[in-house]
Amino acid sequence: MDPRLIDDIPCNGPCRKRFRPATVNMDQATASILRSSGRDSGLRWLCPQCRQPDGPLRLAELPPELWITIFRHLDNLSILEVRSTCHRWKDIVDLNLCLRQNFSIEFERNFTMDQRYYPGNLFPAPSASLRDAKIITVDAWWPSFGPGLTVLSLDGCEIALPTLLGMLKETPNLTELLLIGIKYTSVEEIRVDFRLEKLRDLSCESVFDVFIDIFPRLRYFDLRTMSEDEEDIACRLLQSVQSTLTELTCSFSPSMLERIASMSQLHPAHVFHLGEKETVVQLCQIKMFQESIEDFCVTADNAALCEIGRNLRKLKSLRTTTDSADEFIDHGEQTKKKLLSTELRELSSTPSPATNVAIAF
Amino acid sequence: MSTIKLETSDGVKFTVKTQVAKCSGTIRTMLEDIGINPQDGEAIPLSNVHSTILQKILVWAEHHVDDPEPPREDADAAKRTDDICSWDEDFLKVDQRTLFDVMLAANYLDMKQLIAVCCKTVANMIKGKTADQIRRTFNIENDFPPGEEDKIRLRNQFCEERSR
Repeated sequence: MDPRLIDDIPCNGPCRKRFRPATVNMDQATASILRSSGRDSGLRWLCPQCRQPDGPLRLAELPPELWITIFRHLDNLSILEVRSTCHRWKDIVDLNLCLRQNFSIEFERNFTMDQRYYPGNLFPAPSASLRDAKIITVDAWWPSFGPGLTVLSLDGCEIALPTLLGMLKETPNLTELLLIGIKYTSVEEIRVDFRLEKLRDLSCESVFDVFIDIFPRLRYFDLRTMSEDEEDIACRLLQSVQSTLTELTCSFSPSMLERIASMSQLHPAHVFHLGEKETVVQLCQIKMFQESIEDFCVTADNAALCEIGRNLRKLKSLRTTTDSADEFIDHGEQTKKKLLSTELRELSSTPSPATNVAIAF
Repeated sequence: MSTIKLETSDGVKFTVKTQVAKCSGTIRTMLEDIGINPQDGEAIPLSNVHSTILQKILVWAEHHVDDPEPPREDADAAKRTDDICSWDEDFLKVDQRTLFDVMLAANYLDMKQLIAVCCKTVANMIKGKTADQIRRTFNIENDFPPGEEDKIRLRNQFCEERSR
């Protein structure tokens, strides 16, 4: 075998001699990956002599990558059982994202996270959700838990903005953040020295200046409600992420749309407009939107639908809520003809009251 | 038909059809990339495979030698464990010691399909069991300090499958 592929390493058995791991029980490629990963994956290298080919089976003999392959066949419930079987298996599950990627930690509801709260042995799930919790401090345990998170959802929680920022500082790998129904006990904005470069999806109901600094690469932005004061911040946030944003959900006001019209790099493909139907016409006049929107969700009357058909040239999917089913059906044919000139493939409408109208092309 | 010689850790020499031996990625690499010439009559040393295990593995390789390359499986298909063919199922009806030795040897010899079927078999031995039953099945020592296992269990209760 080519000795350049992998170096000798010391045996963890009684002999302590150096040996070449690829000659033990794995192919060279795996040995190289495990050796070069630089991370402890629960590996104890044993040379062939120390492996004791006869005698009772010792689980340590099977290399971790084989256990990983075995555990990958298990459902989540079995993985949890495996995790509480022995230390070695617990480490294998905890250290390998491929085994825990489907888990989410759901913290207990209605409880207070303060100095006394310390969740030992927390499963390092990549997703966590806290509902209706009163978060006072997370200093003691969050720094070791946060880096493993990619998805964080705070729903109905009570928290001060500085505490939230402290939490987010410890979650550098976050890709999705949901802040729904948050009761901010303080909105004091502190100086931050971090950015969540990996954060793609942000759903929130309040925006703060500090968000502009810490979320530089949003792809999906969902801003459900917004006060007039926040409109300015929301516009500046949009301005700062305009080149990465592809999906935007917002109740656009006329003044906001005016400012958006000047953002030359804002090209969202998916737009969910929650605002008044009067603003739809204005939205359809925005040049960048005319060339970028492929998927549009909106409340619209027939006149607005015609405007959409005329202006949004890239539209492939349109979901609308109309004021009355009759109106939509009566004028539907005409609208359809207008919309047919676009690339539209899907049109569905949910009229209020609750009868569904779906027109298939 | 061309054959090559393999020598196991206990010094037993096997003469094997080259095609069958090439079920092993490790042997294939030795022959093709590194250029070991089997015509020399020299046996390829397999220093960590015992003759009893190699014999068993050769039976498997002989049976599967004409298998087509498996299709690239997606993640969901890879989770299945109910697709072991009945021949393999019978082949792996052995004591645990042998099963694990076959697995280790298959891993060393780089025989992906055999590793896959062994892993599925072991996964089936774990599925649906509690931690305690798993320990008894594999003779694993519970090395958690008293009380810690309960804590892990309690924490596990917070875990839920992700909805998205």
